[in-house]
Amino acid sequence: MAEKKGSILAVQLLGALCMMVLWWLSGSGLLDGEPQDTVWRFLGRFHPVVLHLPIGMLFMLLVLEFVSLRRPGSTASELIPLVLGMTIGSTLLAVATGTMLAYGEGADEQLVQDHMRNGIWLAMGTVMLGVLRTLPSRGTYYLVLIATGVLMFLTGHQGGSITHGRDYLTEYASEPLRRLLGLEVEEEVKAASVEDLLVFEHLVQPIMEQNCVSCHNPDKLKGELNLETIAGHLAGGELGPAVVPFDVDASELLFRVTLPEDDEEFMPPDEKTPLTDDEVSLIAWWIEQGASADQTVGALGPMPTQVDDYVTSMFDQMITPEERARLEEAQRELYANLATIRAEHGILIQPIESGSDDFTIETNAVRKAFDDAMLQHLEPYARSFVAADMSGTRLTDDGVSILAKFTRLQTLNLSRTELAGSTLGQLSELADLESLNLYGTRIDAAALDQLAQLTQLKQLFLSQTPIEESEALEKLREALPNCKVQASAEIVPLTEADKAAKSYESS
Amino acid sequence: MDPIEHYVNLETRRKFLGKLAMGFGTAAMSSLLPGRASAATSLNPPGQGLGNGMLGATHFAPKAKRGIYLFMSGAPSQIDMFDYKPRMTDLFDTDLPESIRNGQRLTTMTSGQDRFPIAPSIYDFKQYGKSGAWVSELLPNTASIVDDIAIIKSMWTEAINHDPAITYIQTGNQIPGRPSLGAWLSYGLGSLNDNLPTFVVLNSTWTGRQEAQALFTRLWGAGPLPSQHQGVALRSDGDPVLYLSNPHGVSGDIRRLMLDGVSEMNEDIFHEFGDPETHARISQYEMAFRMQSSVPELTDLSDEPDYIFDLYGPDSKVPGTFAYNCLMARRMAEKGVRFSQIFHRGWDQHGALPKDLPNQCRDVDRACYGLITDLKQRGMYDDTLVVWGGEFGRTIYCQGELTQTNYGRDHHPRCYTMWMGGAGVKGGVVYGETDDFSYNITKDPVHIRDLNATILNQFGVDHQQLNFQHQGLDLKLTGVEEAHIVKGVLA
Repeated sequence: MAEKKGSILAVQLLGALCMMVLWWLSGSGLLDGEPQDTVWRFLGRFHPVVLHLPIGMLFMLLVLEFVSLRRPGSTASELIPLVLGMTIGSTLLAVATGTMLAYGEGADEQLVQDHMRNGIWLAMGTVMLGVLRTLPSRGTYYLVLIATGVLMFLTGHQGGSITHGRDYLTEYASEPLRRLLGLEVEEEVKAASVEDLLVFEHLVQPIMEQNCVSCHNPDKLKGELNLETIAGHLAGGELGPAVVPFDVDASELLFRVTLPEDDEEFMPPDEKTPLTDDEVSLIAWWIEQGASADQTVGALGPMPTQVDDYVTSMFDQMITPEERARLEEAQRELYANLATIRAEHGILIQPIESGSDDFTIETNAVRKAFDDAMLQHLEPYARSFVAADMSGTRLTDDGVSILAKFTRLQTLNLSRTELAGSTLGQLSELADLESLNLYGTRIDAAALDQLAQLTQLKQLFLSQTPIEESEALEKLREALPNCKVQASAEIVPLTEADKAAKSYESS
Repeated sequence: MDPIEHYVNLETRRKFLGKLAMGFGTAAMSSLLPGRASAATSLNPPGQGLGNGMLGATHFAPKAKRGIYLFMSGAPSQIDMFDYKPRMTDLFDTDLPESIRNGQRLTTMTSGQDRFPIAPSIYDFKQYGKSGAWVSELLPNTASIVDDIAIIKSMWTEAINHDPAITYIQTGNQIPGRPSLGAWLSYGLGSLNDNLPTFVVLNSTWTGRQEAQALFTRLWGAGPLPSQHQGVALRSDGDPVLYLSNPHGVSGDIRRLMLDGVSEMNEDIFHEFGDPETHARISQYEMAFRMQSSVPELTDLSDEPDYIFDLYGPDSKVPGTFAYNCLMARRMAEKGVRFSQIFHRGWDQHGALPKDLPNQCRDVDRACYGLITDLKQRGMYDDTLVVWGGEFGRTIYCQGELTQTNYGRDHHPRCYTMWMGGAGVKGGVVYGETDDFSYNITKDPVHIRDLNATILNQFGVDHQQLNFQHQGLDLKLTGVEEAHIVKGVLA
């Protein structure tokens, strides 16, 4: 009996000693972020090998205690001291190797700190269990056992998050489940077309999430850089801003991802998948256009073909299959309807490029039959057209009110038509209209007020019109300072050489 | 088309032709546009719905809707027109250094010469425009538009004789038989106006040396492409198209009736043999019928005001001259001819260059100025591509006897000058540099296939993706060697 009392005392003393060591460790501030001697790293890497043992053991202990409570005196209770001992031993070993790993590798992120603290508390918990089990009253023991169990799940999950990333477990959780867990629910992309995609949020940020954010997040902050937000991109890290708007060459981010893959400085490091050419070209384009936080694809400048293709393919992936089918059906219908107009009226309608929803109108083959009434056939699709050549047709001033509905037109050629210009002011509705061709029409000085309203124009052709012979042209140039108003060419006189031609003598 | 499947289908002639009849368009199309693009083309299949030409729609948004190509057959002397080499004056009658010629292959016209004496240009050069481009006194009118064009001084080719060289630049290959640039555009992009040919060729009279290289119809031919894509050459004298008008006593209605009958018979033939050329023939009959009204309207210049003739110069009233043809080309561009090419011969100044070259230059100078100025004032220069040039350049060394006032120049493929303008081409650009002898390119070389790739690019066509399967090859205008878009001349 004295022997048993002695061993109980020994356990209690040993437990107290362990508690002191662990207490010291938890407050030691050991993790300084500096990688250490390789021996620590070598031993530390056994952490993942041993850590699963205490989890299993503690779980086993919980089961055995539960069984022996329900059926006292069963063989289950005989195993408890052994399992408890192994739980304590393996937990201490896990804490020791874990500490060496974090210290050796120089990890000091918040998540690692938390994991270590919880691990130490867990070890203290198990040691307390060992001591409490020697006492006659079990109440406190059970309480600590349950608390330790809970702490084990938490600590284990933190460990998993360190190796696999924070949202590893829930990455593929269903949307209702994510809502239940209070997790961020991925917003369905609400863009109706490629042009409506938000460049940063829908295109750039997903690339960052995929490749960069596991290290450059507010918790880990590798190189003091946080790539989770646009502010983080602009603020940058140790080496200055990651992204400099409008300046691709000064943007560290682009520099690092385009280095040779075997370069020390190449990002993402180690064996992680490098960014694809398409992804790099998209980021470069975004930076070139000013690295905007909230602009859409359509609002930013023109895209190089590669970026265009990439963005289109991303859009295809983002939208739901139903939405895609709906869009494709709508496009097919638009093409079919326009094809019908073309077949019936001989108006050449062409997409500006393969697969585009923007079209051009060409009336050359039917110009003698093309009058104001013909415009009505095109009117239902007015917003699909970006350029129209209606030169030499029989359009009159009355047709302009219909043309005013073609609000997306960028170039409009009405040269050699019957237009006198009394209604042209209505074209001020066409906000994108850059070039208007009125060559050879009957536009005269009376149309000055109408033309002066077209402040959006960059080019206006008025050669061979009556307005040229009045002062109105100068007034118009004053009214439209941003527009190049083209009048008839001044013909340079024939040179002596030209006069030497046979045809000159005979003329 | 899968080549093995293709081979299997060749098993019997009938089966092969049957396949062509049913699946010709779709098969060629699927090979043209792999991957995602083919999904897009299903929206505008060639010849159906909104599909125009074999591509259905352009690969990317085009800058040029139409083009006018001014071809100077015989090779204009870049040294006497654009490529100013002042240092040559001091080297008059000295031998061309071997380090410059560097083993260059010469034509048999000068390879037998004892020496290669340098013949400086006798013409004055001045700088013009904001760009300060150098132009010789032979081109006073062209000099006034240098800010509207991009002058490329670093063109080069491999061919050293006219026929291979002109075949090369026109069709992308020195060996005859390939489709010409205009035919490729017609095939790929289709027509802008079904009442007119898509590709028109105009041959001009000239006043320089009258013994000139012949031009062959294959220079505007369709090669293995369906034959309706070949250039339609309008005659400069009399009826522009022979036998276009109805014979005496045949009315339009009777003509129509006859054509319908012939079409029906041709369709029967097509169903029996499935030869796509049958359809080419039907479409050409139909085109001829529509041209009966559209061509006379095109060639009737009576509706052109006087100032237009002032602009293009006095020659423009004389049918068949280069100036007349330039005016015609503008009229055609305005009415929806996709591509026209004006040939002007007589630039082969092997001897007596000072006697002939001024005449040649006078033929084209005023007209070039007139064409570009006219396109500009009509607002057409933004979407009309204009290209000027020949098949190669001329040597700095003299062919034949060299005096202070007389010299000749042999063929020179290593560098020569062309210019282009309009439709997204930057004005006021002088691109490329040559050495002091205008013999070798020292900066930014532009091979003729680079030029062709750039022309296609301005039409919204990726030169890699406009091809045609023939005799086991994917024929392309730019051939199998790498071609580069000349970005330096593009806005």
